Amino acid sequence: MENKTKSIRSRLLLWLTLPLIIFTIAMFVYKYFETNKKVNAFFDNTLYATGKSIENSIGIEYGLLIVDLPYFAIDLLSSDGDGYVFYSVIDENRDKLLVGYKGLVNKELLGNKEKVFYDTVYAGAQLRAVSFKTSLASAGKTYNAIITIAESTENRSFVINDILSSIFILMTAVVGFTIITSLIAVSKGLSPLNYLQNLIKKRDSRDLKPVSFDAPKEVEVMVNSINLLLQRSRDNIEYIEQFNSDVSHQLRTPIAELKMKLELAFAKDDKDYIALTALVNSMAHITEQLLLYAKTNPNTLNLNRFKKVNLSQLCKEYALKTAPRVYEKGFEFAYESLDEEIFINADFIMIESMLDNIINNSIYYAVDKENNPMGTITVSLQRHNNTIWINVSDEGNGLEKKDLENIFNRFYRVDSLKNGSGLGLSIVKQIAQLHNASVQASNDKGLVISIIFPL
Amino acid sequence: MKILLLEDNKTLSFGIVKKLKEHGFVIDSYDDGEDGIYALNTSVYDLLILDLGLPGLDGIDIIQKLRDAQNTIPILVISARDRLDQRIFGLDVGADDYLCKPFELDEVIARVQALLRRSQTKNSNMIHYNDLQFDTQKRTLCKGEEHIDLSKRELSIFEHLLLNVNNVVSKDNIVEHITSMDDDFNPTAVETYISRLRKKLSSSITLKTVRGLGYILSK
Repeated sequence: MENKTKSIRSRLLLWLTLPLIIFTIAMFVYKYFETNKKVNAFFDNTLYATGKSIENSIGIEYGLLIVDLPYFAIDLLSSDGDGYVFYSVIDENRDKLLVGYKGLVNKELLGNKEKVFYDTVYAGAQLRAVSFKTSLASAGKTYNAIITIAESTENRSFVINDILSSIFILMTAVVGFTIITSLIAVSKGLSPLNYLQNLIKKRDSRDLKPVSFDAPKEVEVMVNSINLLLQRSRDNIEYIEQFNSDVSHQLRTPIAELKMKLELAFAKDDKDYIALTALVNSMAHITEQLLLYAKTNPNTLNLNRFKKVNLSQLCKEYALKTAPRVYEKGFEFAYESLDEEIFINADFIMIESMLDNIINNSIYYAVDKENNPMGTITVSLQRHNNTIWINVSDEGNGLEKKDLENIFNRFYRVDSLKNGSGLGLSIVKQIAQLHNASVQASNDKGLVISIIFPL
Repeated sequence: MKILLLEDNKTLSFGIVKKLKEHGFVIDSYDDGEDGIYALNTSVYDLLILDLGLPGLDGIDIIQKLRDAQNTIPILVISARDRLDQRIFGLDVGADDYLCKPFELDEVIARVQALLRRSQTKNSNMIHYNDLQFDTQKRTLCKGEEHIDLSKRELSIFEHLLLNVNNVVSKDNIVEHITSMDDDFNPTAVETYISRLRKKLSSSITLKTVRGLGYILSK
């Protein structure tokens, strides 16, 4: 997948630099041949001119061709540098070497041509040679001579390499400069996209506030679409919140009326009153739990309600508020604080609802066979490495292993004889998840429910 | 004690009025927010029971109006919407207590009495708890006719517990209320005073230690 969807950055870089590199290589190849050709032509001309100067020293004496060439002249004629120079003058009529090195000339190459340039090897040296014919006339007789002059190719190679390497350096510099400017240009060009990417990456995935960003034209369309989608999500959540609120109102009001009518119509100790009230209360409880379950649904979370909350303080205040209720039910209550300020992003009403549900669960289940409350319900705040634990422990009977695993599942019931809604601890789990926390059930003196917040 | 009830649901209004009258309260009742405001402006009430979803003027607006006008009348809100509902999220600002529907009438009475007690202790000297009477002016505690002898500090601590009956009172909170700035008082001494109170008043009070939090005097 990664390879198929290359980044825009690498695509741009590839298309900006690859053609340039190919073009530069082609240019270099062209320049290579052209330089070779031109330099060779120049050196060939010089070589030929040297040959011509030898021609001037050819004369005729006593009906024979002679060469009157001082040895040092050859050295002077040869181009500067350290290369070797070889030469030969052959009397064609007599097929005799007049001066110079034997076997230097290649007569076959020359054939009937006046002049020929060729590469050859002589005395172990790479040579460039020119052979040409010349003729002198004297006393009605024509004398033909073949002049050959050859020089080692080192000098011309040196010049060619010199020219080519300066071209190479220049081209490399141009290519390098272009790649660097492309890199900068691409980064500059893509910076709005990178900014947008970071903006979205940094956001809480639950945050539905519009993305505010002064985007360039090309990105603006995208940002607008994202914002439109976010707006629709917000509208949906608002609608669901309103709907839940209305449903709460519509369901609670008749239940409240029913309860009141019963209370007014019957005496407190009437059997029918007790039975009917129990039914209405159970209905009210299930309605409450279903509403709470709906209101804490992670998909309809309104992050606007999340504020920075001092968890230590929240738990302590909650404990202070809740202790009387727990005592009223016949339990003891204890609180174990943490000597540290812990700040998390949370909806404190939800956190309180969550703790209420755990405590209600303990009040409901931590009882003996005669329904008498068992021991103390303890709320404690602890720190383990990078996590904060809120533990609510009771001194009831605890749970079996399979129940511990399933206790947070919706409608899972440990004791089918008890009438709960089966939602309490799944609401706890839902609210925990809204706060990026996890839940855990374990046995200690009784049941321990832990909410684990990452820091 | 005169109470104003603003509730548009006839059944609930009828039930609450009946129950409060049984308990000896004088009660006026309206089903419209505008009428409620008029009543509040023309007559003096000791407590307001307010339903939030009223026709005419919304309950939250009524609270805001009252509080903006520096009216400190205790307000008990009853509502079919809970604290998780966005619309009443800002409630905590002005109401003194909050009761979500459905509720028991006894619960309404208990809340009304608690609110009134809280506002009345400012005006009255006597606090009653089980068979005890505490006179905040004379600094005396009596059990029926019998005078119970407590030290000055013990009286202060017991008074503080009485004023917060059924609520947890922390050790720090006790220290704060019974000492002045220049007083050199050791918080661990609170434990001593509490155990003395338990010994002297054992038959009349339920005073429990809440581990990690403080003490609770239950009624």
